[in-house]
Amino acid sequence: MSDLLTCETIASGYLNRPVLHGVSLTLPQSGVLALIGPNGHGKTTLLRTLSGLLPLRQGRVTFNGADISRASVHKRVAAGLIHVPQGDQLFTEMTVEDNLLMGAYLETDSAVIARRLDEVFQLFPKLKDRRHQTASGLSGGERRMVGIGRGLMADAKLLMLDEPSLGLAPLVIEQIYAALDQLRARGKAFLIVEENPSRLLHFAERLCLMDAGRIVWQGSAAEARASGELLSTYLGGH
Amino acid sequence: MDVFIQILITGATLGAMYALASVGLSLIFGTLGMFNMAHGLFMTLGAYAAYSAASALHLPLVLGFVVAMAAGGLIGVLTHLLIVRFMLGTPDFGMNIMVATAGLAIILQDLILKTYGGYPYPQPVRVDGFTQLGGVTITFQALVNVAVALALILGTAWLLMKTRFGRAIRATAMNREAAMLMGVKADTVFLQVMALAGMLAGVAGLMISTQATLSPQMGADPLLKAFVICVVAGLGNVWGAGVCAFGLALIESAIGYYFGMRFGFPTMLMLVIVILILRPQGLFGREKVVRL
Repeated sequence: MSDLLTCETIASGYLNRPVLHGVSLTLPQSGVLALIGPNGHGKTTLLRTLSGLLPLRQGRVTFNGADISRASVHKRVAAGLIHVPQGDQLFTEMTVEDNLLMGAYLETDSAVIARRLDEVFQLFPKLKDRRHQTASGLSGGERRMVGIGRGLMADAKLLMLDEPSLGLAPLVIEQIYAALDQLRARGKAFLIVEENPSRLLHFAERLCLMDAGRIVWQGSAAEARASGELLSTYLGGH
Repeated sequence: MDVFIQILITGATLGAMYALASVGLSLIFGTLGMFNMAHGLFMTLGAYAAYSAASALHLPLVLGFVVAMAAGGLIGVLTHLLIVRFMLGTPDFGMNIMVATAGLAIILQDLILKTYGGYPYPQPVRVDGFTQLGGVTITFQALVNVAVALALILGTAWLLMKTRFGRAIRATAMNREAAMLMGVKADTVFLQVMALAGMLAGVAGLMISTQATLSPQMGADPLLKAFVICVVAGLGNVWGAGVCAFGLALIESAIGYYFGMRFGFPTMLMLVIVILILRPQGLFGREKVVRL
């Protein structure tokens, strides 16, 4: 099994409200897969299902060769499947450092934790200056950095980011994506969800287009850029 | 001066009991989002368990204390495993669990009544002797109560603020889903919180019974006061609950001294009304903590 993550016709949703209707997709061991599409069509639901917050109703999820369809959330985290949720969801009354340390909750070796903390601070030097500040006092960009950094503190094999550019100024989005680019260069795998695909058309290797709980198109970024009709139909002509 | 010392001693003794009761209550509310109406009975059970251990098995004092703590922890764990676990995450959890734990309290109280009878017993697990400070008599029991309560509260604070275990509890209280995404088993954290709060309640019950007597309804008054303290502190604010417990106990004992004990609690309630008008989220609370 050479693929990192495989979803086979998975269905899921909320009480009395099915959202996903047979989604299948595959992620290689490294690189960026972008999941794009309009709001309210199941992108976040897919991530929540993959991380185990929502139960799978049908289908199968394989991660790193193991069937995790029924695995609990913490088992998936331990396996390296890390979900950075939409809107950061920080522990607002904890310090930046405690937030980051929570990310390494399952790691007990303090030397490893210290090394990872160092790596996060290298990636986001701003956080080092603010390490003893409460998370609620941070700017939107800094909060996003803590959210992503917290995800990195776990030994992530796959980082699933839900709208990493949501609510940020263009300049800050640049910084976030520059950091993601560095991580990508180190061989990390990403599943990135965005509503606005313009950036991902150039950042991701592969794109999946989601509509009404189904993947309606998938292909390489070059194919997506070449397909003018696709873009104008689903993405409003970017 | 003697009056001042007297008020201080009475206040500290009351405060120690209130603090132990309300810290646990606050911890449960902050983490699980539930009012534990059975918290008073956790205290009563702790007190009776110590009584039984001492009178039937003739255990030494320290073991009586351990038994009270264990009994409180055990009932906390059982409450979670048999009741709370099945209701968590259901619609209207906050209201339903209040009714469920109130029902549990009634059952437990009747069981105690049936087992021990309604006659008030003196608590055999106690420290005898007293000392004089100025013209004021201070019992060793009061000193022991204050010391033990302080040690337990500081221990709890250390656990919550400085350990990985405590960090997981705080994270779960602040954002349950995010904590789960870090690999925290929320169910386990809830169980641990119920055990910890139950242990504190068990000790609180033992202390209350050393100051008065054992009776099946002995937990009702401290539960009411612990609720008041938690509301004043800001629901779910554990640290604030500890501080407010001592503050309100000092006020209660001062009012009690000057105007008579029967005015202590009413004045406390008046003060609470004023505080809540001025600061609806409580003295130490943040608006978002209030979920009712």
